[in-house]
Amino acid sequence: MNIQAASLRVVLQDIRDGLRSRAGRTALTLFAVIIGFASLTALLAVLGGLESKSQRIVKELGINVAGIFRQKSVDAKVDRGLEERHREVLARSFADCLFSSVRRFSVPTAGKDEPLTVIATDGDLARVRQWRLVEGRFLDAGDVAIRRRVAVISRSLNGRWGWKIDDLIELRGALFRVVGILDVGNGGLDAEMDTSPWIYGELVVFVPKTLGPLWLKAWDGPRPPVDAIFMSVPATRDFGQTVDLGRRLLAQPDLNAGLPSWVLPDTLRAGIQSLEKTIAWTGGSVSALCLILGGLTLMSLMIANVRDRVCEIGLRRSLGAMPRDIAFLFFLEGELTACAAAVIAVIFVHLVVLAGRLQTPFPLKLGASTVLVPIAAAAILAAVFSYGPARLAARIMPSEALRYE
Amino acid sequence: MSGVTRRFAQASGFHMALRGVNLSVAEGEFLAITGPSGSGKTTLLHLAAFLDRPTAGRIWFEGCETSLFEEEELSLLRKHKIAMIFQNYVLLPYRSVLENVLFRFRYMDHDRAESEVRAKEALAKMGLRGLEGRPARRLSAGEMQRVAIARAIVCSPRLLAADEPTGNLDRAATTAIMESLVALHRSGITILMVTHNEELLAYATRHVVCRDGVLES
Repeated sequence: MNIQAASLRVVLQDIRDGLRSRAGRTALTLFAVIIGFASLTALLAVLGGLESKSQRIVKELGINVAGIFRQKSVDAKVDRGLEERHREVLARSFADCLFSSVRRFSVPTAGKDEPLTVIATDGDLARVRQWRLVEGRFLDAGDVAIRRRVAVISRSLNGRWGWKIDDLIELRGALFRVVGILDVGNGGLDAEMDTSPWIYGELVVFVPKTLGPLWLKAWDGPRPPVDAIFMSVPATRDFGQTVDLGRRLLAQPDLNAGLPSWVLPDTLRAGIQSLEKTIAWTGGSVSALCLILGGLTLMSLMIANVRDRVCEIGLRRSLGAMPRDIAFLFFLEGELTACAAAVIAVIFVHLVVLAGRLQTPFPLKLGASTVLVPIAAAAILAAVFSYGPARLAARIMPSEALRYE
Repeated sequence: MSGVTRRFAQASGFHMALRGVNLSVAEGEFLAITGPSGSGKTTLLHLAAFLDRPTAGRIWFEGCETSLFEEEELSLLRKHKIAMIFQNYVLLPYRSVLENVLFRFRYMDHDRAESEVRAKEALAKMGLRGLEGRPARRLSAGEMQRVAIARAIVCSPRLLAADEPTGNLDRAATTAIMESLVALHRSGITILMVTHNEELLAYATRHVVCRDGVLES
């Protein structure tokens, strides 16, 4: 092909001349194509964010971990719900599994705007939920047995409020000594706090659950209630089968456990995937329409350019250009226009997302897919919508072209 | 050319632009073709420059019969042996004078530095020294046509086909352009020129008239 003889610079100069001579029309086309690719990039960012959120939520619950949650009773007089004894029953039945029960409270703190989340639990919760200890230790059996006033704080509390090991902190008028700092791994999932009982946010303190009678009236009584029981199933056991057995065990009428809700990694994933699918269909349809409109605008620009440059086509043919050289010129012009629009759209959406990341009510994730997919789509879109105009240009006879004016 | 016919399809049927034209142009000749509008002059020129193919008949170039040539071969002829000058110049308005002349090499393998030297020589020959960097859109009509001629001659064609080269120019510019063509002719280039202007016939070595698609000597 003759184009081989010309350097890339010469080809780009040809295209630049063509686009520059019709700057207004090119700008309008770019704008239309940018809208299409911006919508595609935004959709990819939302879908990526949801996928990432899905993975984080499942990871937050723990691998091979099931959460059993007390169901809020409609009738307050009915005495049914999760209790500490249900954890004991499960632990006896599945000796190789780890169990931990928790109660959750919101505690205002003097001098601070945000309330603390206090989790009253046993010494196994960190292991069950697979959290990483940053410093010190987690609660142990001794703390729970002798009701030691010790607390383990989240890393965020250490960082934001400056609490550290051996500090004395005050919770509802009682002093607790900090013995450990834990990475609860749910940074960025704060928006889920109100709806997901297994996510505790960033400002969280863990205390022995047996301390309840000393400062929380709710633990009183022979059958202390719990908000949740977490169960960690070892890799040697079948997770689904174990969960099924556990469900059937708690469903026995004499245990009076009510109908606790079971949260499993699969149910979490399914919920998010359903949302992803809905967004993919609705957002995808809008993006596809925008891209088709952008493509049609690009096509009309290319056709108008071919019509306006008939004389130039004639000149090129008189200088020895083959029809394929002419087709290549217009094809490349369409490709470059669409790819430039995609790059601008990608940069624009990335800047907007980065600027407003903290304020968005839905998760967004930028990555290779939000860059490469729009650019690849631009190349395909341009190939589809430039083909016709390029073919039209190539089929113009030089003698007809030179008579055009 | 031997028995060359060119027919164009039209909404109302066919238009016969040329009817069995026989024409022989010797190497180094300066042939002027005149005739009324629509007589087939430009069609004849396009066929001679291999920008079009005849409906019937044969065309020879340097002893080769070209009717069986593939598009690729015709393209090589246009690239290396034939140059065109147009009434409306067909310059690239956003490029400089020098770049417009260098555009002659756009579809050739060439050395950029050597091409620049040749382009500058061609511009100097056309009296355009010093205007190399000026955008083509800022030139006068006469200057534009001289740039177009410089572009045509920069790669030393064997045949120069000129379609109304002075059609848009005033008398002074016309004289200057014609003197340039005569100088090129003296340097050995064969020239075919289509014109309406009978005053220009004095510059040619031979003259034919095209009327209703038929040549009259």
